[in-house]
Amino acid sequence: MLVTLRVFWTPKRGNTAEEYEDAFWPPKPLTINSKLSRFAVADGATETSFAGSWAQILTRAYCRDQLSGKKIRKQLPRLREEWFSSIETHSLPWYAEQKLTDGAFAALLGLTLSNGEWQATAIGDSCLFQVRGGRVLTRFPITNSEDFNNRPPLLSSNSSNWKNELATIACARGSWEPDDVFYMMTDAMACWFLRSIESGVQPEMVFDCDQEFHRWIEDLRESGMRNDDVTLLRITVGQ
Amino acid sequence: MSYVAEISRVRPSCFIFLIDQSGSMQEAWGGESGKNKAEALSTIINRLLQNLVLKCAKSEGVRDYYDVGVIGYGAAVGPAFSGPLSGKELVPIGEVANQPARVEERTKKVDDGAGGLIDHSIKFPVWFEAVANGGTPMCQAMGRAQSILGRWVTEQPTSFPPIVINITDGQATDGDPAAAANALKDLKTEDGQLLLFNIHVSSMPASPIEFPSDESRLPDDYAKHLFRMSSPLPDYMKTVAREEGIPVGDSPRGFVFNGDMVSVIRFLDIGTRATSLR
Repeated sequence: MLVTLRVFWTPKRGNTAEEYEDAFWPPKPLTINSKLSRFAVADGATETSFAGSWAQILTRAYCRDQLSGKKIRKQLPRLREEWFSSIETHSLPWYAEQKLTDGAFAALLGLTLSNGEWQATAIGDSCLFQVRGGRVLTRFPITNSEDFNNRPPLLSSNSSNWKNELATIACARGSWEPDDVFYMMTDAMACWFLRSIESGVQPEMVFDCDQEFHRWIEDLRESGMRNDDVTLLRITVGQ
Repeated sequence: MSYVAEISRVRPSCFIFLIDQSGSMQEAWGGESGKNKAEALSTIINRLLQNLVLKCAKSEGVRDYYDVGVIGYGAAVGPAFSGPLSGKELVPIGEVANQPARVEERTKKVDDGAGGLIDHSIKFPVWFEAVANGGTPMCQAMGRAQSILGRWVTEQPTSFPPIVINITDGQATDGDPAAAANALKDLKTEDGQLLLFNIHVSSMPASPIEFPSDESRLPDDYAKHLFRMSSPLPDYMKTVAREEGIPVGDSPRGFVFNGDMVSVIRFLDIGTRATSLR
């Protein structure tokens, strides 16, 4: 199975690259021949602190097969420790201390491709689309643009929330054919993409360079796409 | 469409709190035994500011999504911050975060993740002390807010409009505040009219009432008058209130009786919120 990954991302307009709180894994574009490939995107919640590092830890863990099935319950305490130890906790101001106690929150979407099949796992509103010959075959986990809101289920670094959060995990599986394209995207773009499909337009999303992507996103924001961090993974599969 | 402007550091919004520091605030508060109204008010305003700061706090610090002012009215009308911000009329929320008068250590029960509760030490910042002295010049306080915010809306014409939260026992001594309230509510940005919300801190021992749609359940004339002066909640706030489990009717107003209105901070939209956070 030949897999090609292109990655595009941009922070919310008005924010710096350091303030970008989405995450993705693998961290670079690649073309590989492999029997099994994993990909993940995550979206740190705006209102929580230290969410970018939590999102990054989750995407990496998914791609190391630490978050599938029952493994997730065992792995979360270790991932929380990893997150906590990544934060400089000495002499934090009162508000940062409170935010640290509350924990970081992120949406997570993972995709595993194997021989002719795919499996996906999601908590929250980052979305997967499978496209074949210009037609969208799969929309997951959100299928309607009206279903986006500011309160998606999220996975937190705070153990007291895990029981409820893990109950919201969504899973899907299916098959792929050569030349299928999988798009993984965070919520603002996913909402726009679904709206486009609903209005009968299937957007082409092929970009020669990052600048072209950034210009395209700016145009979309001008025409009403919600201003948020944007992450897009474009995965093409072949034999 | 109104009340849809994105709140950002480039286009911040603004909060002004008007706090009643009159002599009548020495009377016992009806909401919780053992407290007088001035103590209840200082807890409310400290909690509102704490929650507003937390709303804007990110890993690298506090983002200046809001300008914040506090005007006290009692023996005098003027800026009411204690500590390093004393005398300042309007400051970015980042300055509020970093310059409380003091930070107290308090203990809070938190979920231990295994069905039990454990004591957890938290820091509680204090910007205000309880004050109760003099008359209740509410009309003057609203005039002062109108003067500050009149300038602010010309400087930030496209921002989400300012929110004014007036915390009082309702007994104005310089006339009927309705006219001053209307003049204040006439201020606007391109995104909508200023929102005036009222918190009634009453001596009457009655349960809190949040965001009523009519005045029928309100226990006295002061509460009813403050209710009528309060702006209707914009549609998106109504939606968030319902999502938060607050039972609001069809036309709720920004009025709370014997409560703290901290829920208003949760209504503010600066991005994805964590449903588990309160």
